Amino acid sequence: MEYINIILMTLIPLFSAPIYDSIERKIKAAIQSRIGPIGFPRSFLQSWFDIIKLFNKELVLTSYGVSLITILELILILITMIILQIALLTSQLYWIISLLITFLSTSTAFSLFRAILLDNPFSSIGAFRGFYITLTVEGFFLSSLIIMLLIDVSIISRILLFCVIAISCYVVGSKVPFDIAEAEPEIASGVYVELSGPLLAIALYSLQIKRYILAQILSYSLLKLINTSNTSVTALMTVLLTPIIWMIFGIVSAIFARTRVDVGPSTLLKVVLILMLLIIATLTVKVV
Amino acid sequence: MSSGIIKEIEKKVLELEGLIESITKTTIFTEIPKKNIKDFAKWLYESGAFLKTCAGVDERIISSKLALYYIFGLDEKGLDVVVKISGFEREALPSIVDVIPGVEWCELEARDLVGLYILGHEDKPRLVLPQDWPEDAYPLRKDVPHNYRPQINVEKFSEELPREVGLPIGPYHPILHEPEYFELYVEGERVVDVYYRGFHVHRGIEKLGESQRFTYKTIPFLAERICGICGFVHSSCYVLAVEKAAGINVPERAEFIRSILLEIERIHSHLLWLGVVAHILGYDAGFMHMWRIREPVMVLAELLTGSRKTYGINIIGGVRRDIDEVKKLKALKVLRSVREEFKRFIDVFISIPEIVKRTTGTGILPRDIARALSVVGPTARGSGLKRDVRKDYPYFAYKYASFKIPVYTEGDNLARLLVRVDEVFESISIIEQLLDMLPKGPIAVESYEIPRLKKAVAAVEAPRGEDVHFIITGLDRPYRWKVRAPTYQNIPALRVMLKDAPLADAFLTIVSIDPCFSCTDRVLMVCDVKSNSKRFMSLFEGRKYAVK
Repeated sequence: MEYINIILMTLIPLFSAPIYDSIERKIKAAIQSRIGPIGFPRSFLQSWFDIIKLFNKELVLTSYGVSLITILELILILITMIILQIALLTSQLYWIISLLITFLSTSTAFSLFRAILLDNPFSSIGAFRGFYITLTVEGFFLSSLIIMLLIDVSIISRILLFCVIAISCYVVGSKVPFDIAEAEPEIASGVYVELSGPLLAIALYSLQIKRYILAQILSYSLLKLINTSNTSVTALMTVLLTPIIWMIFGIVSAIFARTRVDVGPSTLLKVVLILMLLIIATLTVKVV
Repeated sequence: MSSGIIKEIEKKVLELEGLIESITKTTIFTEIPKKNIKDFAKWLYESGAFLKTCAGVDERIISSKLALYYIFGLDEKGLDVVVKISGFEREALPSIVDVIPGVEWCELEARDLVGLYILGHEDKPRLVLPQDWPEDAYPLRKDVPHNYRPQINVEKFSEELPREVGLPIGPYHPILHEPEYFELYVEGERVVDVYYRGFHVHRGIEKLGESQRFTYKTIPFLAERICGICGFVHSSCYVLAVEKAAGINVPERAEFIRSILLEIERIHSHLLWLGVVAHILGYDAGFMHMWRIREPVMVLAELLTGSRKTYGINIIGGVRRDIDEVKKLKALKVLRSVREEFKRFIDVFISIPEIVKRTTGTGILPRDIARALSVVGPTARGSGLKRDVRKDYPYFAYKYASFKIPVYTEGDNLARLLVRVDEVFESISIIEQLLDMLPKGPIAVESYEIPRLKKAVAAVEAPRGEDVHFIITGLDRPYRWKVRAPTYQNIPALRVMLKDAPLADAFLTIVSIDPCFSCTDRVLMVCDVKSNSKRFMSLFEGRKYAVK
């Protein structure tokens, strides 16, 4: 039964990530006073249509390494996603959590390696910008996640940890204003500049799965915050909360403008540092 | 216009052994010996004059000479001063670039297109023509037909490409809506130097206007196609120049209609620009809402002219379409709603922290450099220069309207943004005032005569700044028609604005001058005679010939 659950939980993100992305686009369109994807199926499936269309486009390869790394990136993301589903269903396994953290960080780093290895100034600049942003939050994100998932702390600490995780999930998901690695106009798609056709489709699909994983982690953290202990209820609630978190992220991104490369990471670091200091303070108080 | 300044100019011209050709209501035409041009230009500049442009003219049919006309504007006096120097073919003419840096481009253009030999520019690469354009083929000379297609030396295309490449932006780049080439040299995320190569989309409009294919009556429609955003400005400026040269008194009602449409064009252009800025800054909600607010303005233009863009209603001596009472009431209703919606949204727009942070203190153009380069429009007004042709040289019906010229002294991207925001409100107010005062009467003169070899300078305040047209009348069509779009005057300032600024703000800074490359560019399409294919210059050719 557990295996069936894991398979089901694994299949859901594979299909639903592009669907959530399509719904987010429709919601953003409404906020921006435009129509967005037209018609019932397209409102829900536009991102799938885009991926299929990109797969049918010509593939222009600048180097074989790019395609290899892009495919590996997707594989790593998928492994991370499967581990997350196992972690949700068997939350007591410490080694699963460790594995999740390892793969989560590796897959994030991998996508940036792909961009930095390319002999393209737009891609390199984008990758470095991605590094600034990722390095700012990654350490705090993973440590907060470990504490949240594995240690029993006070409600105040949990709230603060949840804030760090929420901010990090939003930032690592490359949403406005933190999409400086690919969306700043002068770098012409930045980390995606060398990708075309099927490779671009794979990269975009990886990003959507990654966003699903991050939304799911935040949903799970929310349930941890309110101390839900039943594993199967937690798994079900996580699946239901994930699209809500995704849409909230989408709405937030629609009301922001993009941050400045030098200002964004430093402001972010200040905010996360303050939160982390408060977390340490609350943990110390509890120990004393 | 004060007679005091005219006397002063007359005195100076005589002192420098020059002569006054003619004096009209708004312009003094002078000819100065070439040896004294620097002194006269310096004196004019120190008297507060801005350089408007310069135009090379092939006058060999008239006087066996090639001439260069420098056009200066004494904004505070509302007076244009046109200074002519001339020389025989291959005779050297002095450059005034060391006195007025902003003159460099138009002198290079005169060298490229008319073949003037201007001292100090000998070693500079071509600005306007491609490097493989044949020597001694000058497109704006009268003996060169408008459909001239030279033989190109294709071997030159394969010359070794430069080894060092900065961060290329253009000629085709997602952020550029028209082909243009910038190369940014960066240290980390900071721009340390900039190279620019433009003039990729030259359509030979001046030459066409002077050719047999066009006449005075049809040129307004050609002029309107210079730009896809502010085309009406160009047709208005052209007809104004011809009307000034020919002394045509345009009916007041037509002048009101022209002013109203010019302001409608300004509103839609500024709203378009604000939307683009929002998009560049990643605030797509702002982009969409700004363009939503702009849409009724486009519909209003269609109501008044029959077209959303490229109105086509300007004719010499008036306009082709009237505004009746029903249209007037509808227009007032639309303007009320646009003002309300814009007010509501712009308050949100300029309170978004990222927008304020990214525009404040970036792309700074100091006032003194703005003055030296004679920049125009919101770029000048954002750097503390109170320049606006509508006030300085009142034309059409602007003298009847009460409006302010927004000026900010910071010189950064935010200052230029705020100038445009304020101008939207001012333009709405101007249209409301003019619609209320719209006089009765005809909308065009019944007949007119255009004498030959009359000169005139016309300037119209476009959304991007002062648009200048210089005309020497000919038989049935202009003998010489020079167009100087506002972006032409503003682009050289970008080098100052981009240098030592964050790379991420570079494009915002480029956009902050609201560049319009189709107005500005003049490079010719290259025809490969071997393959009989046509092409534009490539990215690397552009870089190779970049003007430092």
